[in-house]
Amino acid sequence: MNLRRPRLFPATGLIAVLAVLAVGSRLWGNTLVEGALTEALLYLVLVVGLSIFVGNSGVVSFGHIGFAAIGAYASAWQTCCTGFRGVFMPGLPTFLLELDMPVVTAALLAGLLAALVAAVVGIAIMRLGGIAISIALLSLLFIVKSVYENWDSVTAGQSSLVGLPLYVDLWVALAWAAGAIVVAQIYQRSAFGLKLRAVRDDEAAARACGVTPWIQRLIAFVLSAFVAGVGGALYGHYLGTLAVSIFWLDMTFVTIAMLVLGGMRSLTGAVVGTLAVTATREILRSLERGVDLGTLHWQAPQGSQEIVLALILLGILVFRPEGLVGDRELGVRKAV
Amino acid sequence: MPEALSTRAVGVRFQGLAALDRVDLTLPRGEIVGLLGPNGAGKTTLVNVLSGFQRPDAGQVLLDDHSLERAGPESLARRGVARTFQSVRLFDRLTVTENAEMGALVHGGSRTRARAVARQAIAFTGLESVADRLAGSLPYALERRVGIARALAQHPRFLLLDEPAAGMHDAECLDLVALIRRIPDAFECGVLLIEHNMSVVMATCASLHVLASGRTLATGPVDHVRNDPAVIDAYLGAA
Ligand SMILES: Nc1ncnc2c1ncn2[C@@H]1O[C@H](COP(=O)(O)OP(=O)(O)O)[C@@H](O)[C@H]1O
Ligand SMILES: [Mg+2]
Repeated sequence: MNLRRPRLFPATGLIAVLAVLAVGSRLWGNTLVEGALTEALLYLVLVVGLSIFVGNSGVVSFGHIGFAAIGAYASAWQTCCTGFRGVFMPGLPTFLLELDMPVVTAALLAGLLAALVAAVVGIAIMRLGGIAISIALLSLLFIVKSVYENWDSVTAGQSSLVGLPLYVDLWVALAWAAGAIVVAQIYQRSAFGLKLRAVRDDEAAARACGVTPWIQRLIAFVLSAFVAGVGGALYGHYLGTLAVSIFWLDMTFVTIAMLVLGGMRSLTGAVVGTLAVTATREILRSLERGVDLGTLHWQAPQGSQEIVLALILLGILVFRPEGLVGDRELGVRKAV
Repeated sequence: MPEALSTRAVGVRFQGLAALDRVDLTLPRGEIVGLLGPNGAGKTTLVNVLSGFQRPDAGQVLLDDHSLERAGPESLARRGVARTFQSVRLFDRLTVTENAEMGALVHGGSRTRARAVARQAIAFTGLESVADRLAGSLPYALERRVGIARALAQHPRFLLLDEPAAGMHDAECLDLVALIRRIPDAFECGVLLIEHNMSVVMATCASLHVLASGRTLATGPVDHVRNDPAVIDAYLGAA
């Protein structure tokens, strides 16, 4: 990484590109494209959150979507279904039932709750070695799902929760994605980020430099859970309804695919991967709905979306294991 | 008592095998001590003990007057003990400057300050021309220098070098000798040098400590050890 470049590069460059895409899609006036871009930006919050931990620690996490679920419900507890909150979620404490929290504050508090959970479980999990951490984090996803599905009185877990304020549009998504990118950038360039990447490359040598590996992993884990929690909260307010099953293996697979496809260790990679996977999914989705070729109507079989995505990911892993952009960042000459 | 890093009757056993047995070693600050011995003698194990990577089964590790055999590597690093590794162990995906920066960060502070300290260490070790390259992309001899730069950026009081000249040809060895000789004065630190090449040892060290099968065979000033019959028999005679 070249330290002579402007302080907030590539974050500023990436945000500029995303802003241009957003303005472009609005001017074009194609609602399908605008919707896809909004969703991509929301996924980007999740993927950037994931990359803060995965990119710097080198440990793949299958558990971060659990933090998205925690964030989504935490925001619902504060903002959902005015007047009916107690009907849907009778188990909520009184102070939550009467709360009328501004949505932005609610999203930040939702992220904080996810970060708090990460801090508590992280104290144990981050002491494990690489692959054991990945497995423990997958278990964490299962635990969150079981708890939220069965904690019916505060999650309406057996059915869906409806009536979340629908405030997330293209611009809101863009603003939060930009915020996530800036947070990730600041962390990456901090002494904490450097220390964690050193741990990733050689744990013993990092210890010889006075670094305690699990503490560095924990710091990144908590920060990334915060961003993922905010991402989950936003996603809920984009859909307007919540079900625990939204935050499950599909979303885990898609977010990891986005990160790996673009390049695990680079912020530019997270953006490229998220946009590329979203575009691919949208195209496949419309093929599943069917296309008219003159007189011919052709429809891709249901499920092609998942299969094609999996094949693309497989191809990338085989032929370009570093992802589309590798370690490179936008506008930065690659160090060799 | 002068400042020193030392062991007192240290013992380490691996599944019954005594890798170290009652070893007393003293590394005074400001001196270069050579640690010699055939492969498997226990040299790396002793460096591991001194740097907190290996907890001894018996004996003490003393930093000045503090007993530190229970301290981990992080704690010894913060107290001024730096080391290199026989297998180098660089941060391959970080640049050379960032590797050295990691050393400087041992005492906390900002990255800006750490970078300034790192630059000094890089200049001292003659690595300016590769400062922005990824450490993993360097040729072997340069990798070893980066390991030394990273350790020096810690501004250690004691530096442990585990076979820094391994795999280097003669010209590179000469450069390295010149570099190591400048360390005690420039950094006010003691250097423990593990090295098989006798000309490197003779050109750098004031005193020697010879291990064989985990035991101290001889220790003292170079001339004294060099003429010790046990050492000549067991080790130097063959070299
Ligand atoms: N982690 C370990 N587990 C078991 N045996 C070890 C371990 N480390 C070193 N040994 C053994 O201890 C002895 C000393 O090894 P070492 O200190 O690496 O020697 P040297 O550095 O002098 O070549 C050797 O017999 C080696 O096989
Ligand atoms: Mg050795």
